[in-house]
Amino acid sequence: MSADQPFRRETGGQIDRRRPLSFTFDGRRYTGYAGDTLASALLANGVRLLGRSFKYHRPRGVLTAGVNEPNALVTLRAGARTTPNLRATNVELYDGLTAQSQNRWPSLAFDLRAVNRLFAPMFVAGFYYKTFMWPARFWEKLYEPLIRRSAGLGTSTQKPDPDRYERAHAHAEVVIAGGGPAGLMAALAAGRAGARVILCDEGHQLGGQLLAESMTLDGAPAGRWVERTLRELAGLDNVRLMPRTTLFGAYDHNTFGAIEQVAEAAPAPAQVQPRERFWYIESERLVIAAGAHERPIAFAGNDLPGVMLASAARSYVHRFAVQPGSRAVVFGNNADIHATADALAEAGVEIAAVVDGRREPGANPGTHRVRHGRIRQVKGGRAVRGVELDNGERFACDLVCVAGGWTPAVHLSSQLGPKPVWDERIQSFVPGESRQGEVAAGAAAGRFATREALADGAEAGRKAAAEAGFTGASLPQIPAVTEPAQSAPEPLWAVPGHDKTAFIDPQHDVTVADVKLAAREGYSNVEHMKRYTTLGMATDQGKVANVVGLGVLAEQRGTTIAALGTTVFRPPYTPVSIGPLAGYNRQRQFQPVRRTPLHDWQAGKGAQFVEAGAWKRARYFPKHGEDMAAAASREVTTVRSRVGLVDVSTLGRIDIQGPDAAEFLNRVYINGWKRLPVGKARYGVMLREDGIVLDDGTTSRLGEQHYLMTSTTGQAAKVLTHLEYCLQVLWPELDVNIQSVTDQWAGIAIAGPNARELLQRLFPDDDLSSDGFPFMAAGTFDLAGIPARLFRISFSGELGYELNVPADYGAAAAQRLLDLGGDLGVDLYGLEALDIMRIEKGHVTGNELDGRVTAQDLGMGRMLSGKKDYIGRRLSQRQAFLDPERPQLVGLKPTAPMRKATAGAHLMPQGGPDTPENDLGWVSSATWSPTLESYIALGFVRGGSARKGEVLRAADFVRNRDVPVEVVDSVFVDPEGARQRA
Amino acid sequence: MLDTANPLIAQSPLAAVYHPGVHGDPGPDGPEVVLSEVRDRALVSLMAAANDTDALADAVKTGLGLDLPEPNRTTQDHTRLLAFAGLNKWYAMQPGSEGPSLMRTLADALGETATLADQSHGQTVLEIAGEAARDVLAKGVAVDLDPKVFAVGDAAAVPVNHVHVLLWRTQLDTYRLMCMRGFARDLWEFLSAMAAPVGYRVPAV
Repeated sequence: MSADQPFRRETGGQIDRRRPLSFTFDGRRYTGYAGDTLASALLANGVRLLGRSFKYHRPRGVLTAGVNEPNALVTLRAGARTTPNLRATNVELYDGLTAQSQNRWPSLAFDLRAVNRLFAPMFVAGFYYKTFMWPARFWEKLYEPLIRRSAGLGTSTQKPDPDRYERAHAHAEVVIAGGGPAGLMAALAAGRAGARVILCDEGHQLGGQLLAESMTLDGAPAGRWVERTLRELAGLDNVRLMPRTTLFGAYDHNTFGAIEQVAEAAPAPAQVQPRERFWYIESERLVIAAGAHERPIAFAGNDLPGVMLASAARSYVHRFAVQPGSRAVVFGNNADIHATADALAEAGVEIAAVVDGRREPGANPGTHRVRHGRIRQVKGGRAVRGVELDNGERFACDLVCVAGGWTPAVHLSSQLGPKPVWDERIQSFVPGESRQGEVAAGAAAGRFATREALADGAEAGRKAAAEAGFTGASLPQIPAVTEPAQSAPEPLWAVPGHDKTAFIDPQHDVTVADVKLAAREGYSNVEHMKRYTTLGMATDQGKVANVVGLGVLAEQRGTTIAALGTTVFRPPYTPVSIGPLAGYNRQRQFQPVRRTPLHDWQAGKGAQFVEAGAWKRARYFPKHGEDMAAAASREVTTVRSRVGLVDVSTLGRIDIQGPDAAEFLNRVYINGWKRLPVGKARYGVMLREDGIVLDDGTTSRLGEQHYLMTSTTGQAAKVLTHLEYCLQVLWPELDVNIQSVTDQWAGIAIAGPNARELLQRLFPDDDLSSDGFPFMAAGTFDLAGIPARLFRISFSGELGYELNVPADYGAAAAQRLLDLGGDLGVDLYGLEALDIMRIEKGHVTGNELDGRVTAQDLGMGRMLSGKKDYIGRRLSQRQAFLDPERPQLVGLKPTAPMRKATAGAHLMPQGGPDTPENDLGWVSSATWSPTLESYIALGFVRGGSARKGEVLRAADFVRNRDVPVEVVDSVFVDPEGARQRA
Repeated sequence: MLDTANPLIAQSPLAAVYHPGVHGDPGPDGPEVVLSEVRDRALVSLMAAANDTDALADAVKTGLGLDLPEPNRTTQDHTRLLAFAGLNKWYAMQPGSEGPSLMRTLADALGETATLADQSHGQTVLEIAGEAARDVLAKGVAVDLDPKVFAVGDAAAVPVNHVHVLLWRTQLDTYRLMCMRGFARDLWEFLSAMAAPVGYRVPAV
């Protein structure tokens, strides 16, 4: 025995002694080997105390050797990579691993909160409901924080996760959960038949119980058969073996969720490699080869470090070449006790006693003397020191191995809907009738012998592949198995004695006393008992506890487990971290970003961007340390006095073609379109069916049967969907085709008194004079050999144009405009300046078109055509919509120019109380107007422009502002429109 | 002032993120995929006028010598490729051409049977090639890419990282992805991140 791993055997096991691995636990350095789990390496080093329990802070060690571990939960790594609540029995050892124990203070060996044990009477089942009911206000402030601090698991880090995660899709005909004898055999059978097979196993080594038990296959150690089988499977292109991958959820239509630990066996993932990967798997059939979990027997002190499931002890001996103790007592209700005693003895562990707890003890095939009796109590403080039997006999020992029978892992079956079915022979539940062709094989089906598992697996794989259409392959040969004899367990759930320290669910500290109390207090239905005691509700979800708890409850009620039934299992099978579920989509990659053709060019000009839906739009271009307000004011002045450029690529552009295009426009817009000539644009307003304004924008006639519609940025997708609906559902007879061409074009608005001069320089051969290209003109022009579209429309109210060039040329065209207009004072402006100018001009946007507003409310009632039908016409004439008292669009000007009326403020009469009855309307948009040197606002007020000249209060109850505002015309700048028509 | 002979320079939507070279974590055998943008091609969308797809198919056959692709298929010859893109919608792509030129060609060939729109700049076409391309795509594409299911010439409209993509397979290990130009950079960055673990090469333009 090496000095640093005193409990490691010299030979044997599936570990690589040539690859020693250094790791720390609670700051102390240890050595293990490649192939170890953290638990096996700690046991090899004689470390048995691994954690403290949930409620009572009792010392706890390693109970299992696998996924069902309730006690040995540790926190792995440190800093931002801290990961709590990992099962030491599943953590693959790696060089440099750092682990911490959990739920102890100040240290694992000396935990002050263990005083909780003194208050154990208070922490009984239902203590939440009994103790902390009153006074209610204490709950949030006192009780809950108190409980959270003293009870519980590890603590997660608050730092951002530095690692990457991925999601991926996989497709197969046959998915196999579990890589033990049944799973490997199923993969062989289905794989040879030609079906695409995915085999997932949570462990880092495939083989399952074949690695953990002493047996031979065809006369050779089982590991040999595993190697040979894995080699064949690796050679099949249609078989994908996925170790370190937990199939955690089974869903309808044979779709599955799985988590792959891509980089778990390392302190940090290699550069650009993900830590975990979430797999979404679609398949035709599921083979459940998930094995079974051994269960304990409840007796006093059965949670002390050193009490271990018998199968776990055998696994540590065989697979990891570890002595789990020096002197052992083996106790159980089935024949596994003999195999366990043999395994331990062979590994050099002294056998203090083998105790057969059955009323009718089985034959003793072994060499050890067997006592008939039961363990009444385990003695010890922080570790097992001995046991006392119910006949009073005492044995000194440091290891107690318990064989309570096996519970098939019915989880995936239960997730699909079938209720697990009680099997009297094995005293456990097995999967219910198949719902979507899933087949359980081997131990998962309650057939625990290796020979059964191999045969089951072969048949399950064959059947699954055949049902997916892959037939004809012969069944793989089933190897001959030599293994220790097994027997069905005799029901033995709890040994009578001190119920309050006889643990059923060690992770949640649920004892025999708790279950009995629940039954006495009327919580005797399984679902009630579960919730009242929290049995089976810990992170292991009852893998250890469920059946034992049911057994105790059934005895207490004088009934059978079959009559009680069981609770259902839901995904996930084991806890899943959030990272791989989010995958790539976090932080800046939370959702896709849409960028305009001018994005990079504007970024180079110092643009500050703002998110507008998926788009990033340039908001302002600060110079010399300007803040947004200063920059936007300067940009407004540039446009109003010289000329500015703004990126309007985000506007929705819908290409409309066909003989019925004009008729189509007539039906979707409130105004008339039949007489719009080619080469002209027109402003239009669209309603929803209910008469509320959907969107507005200009549409230009490019050809006889060809129009280009623009929508607002925010409503672009909705408008396109609306038009598609109209054409496909309402008027399929119209000969019109529409398609989005938004992304085809870079849109640049050029506005200001010098706009024409600037554009004339870009198109020197064309006539852009007021006569040659008047207000609302639209046309196609040649721009250095590229077809560009020009529209004389204005959102700012200035002499304005919108230039569209094919997107790849957008940046070059914009730069050329800047180059051409230096002497004209041309500069860029952003969304903020655009918004200021549209408020100055009384133009509406999403702030006004908020889904409550009619065309009449906007003062556009006269646009509503009386000569044709259109969407929303009938309901726009509803009585309520014609009420002259409806709030209508107005301008609002603070009586003191420097006082801002904020958007969202309510409009109230002067002097009136702040009551809903007094509410006259609201402020929809507000801004500082550099043009008027005053704050201004748009809003909706009852009676609308009839109130012109009246002074109201803009009362903002959120920001506590109350600003007197005068009702004015909604167009503040150039109400006659002389500038835009210049 | 303006030099009309001075042409405007076209810029790819990937200009800021397209870095030729080897990236990610290539194994000893070098990068397993090649990521690139398909430039220098014209792209035009086609819809059947009056929903008469039979008339359009006839015109395509007569005028272009190609079959109008069935749903989720592409057809191609040495000159151009046609791809099914959805209900009454196809794309025509022609390497070495420009939008206006392809528009004229198609208008001449298809007459009034088709409604055309130049999408040469509106859509960006990316290519991913290499033995690991399928595994990289599986990180964003939900459809089964097994060649028995998604064969050379097959196409599918799929969301990739929430972006609408038209995906088609040009060779056993080569795929093309077309998305709206505004999302092209985002899609490129997503594919780059997904390809990084196997290493990827970006060829020079």
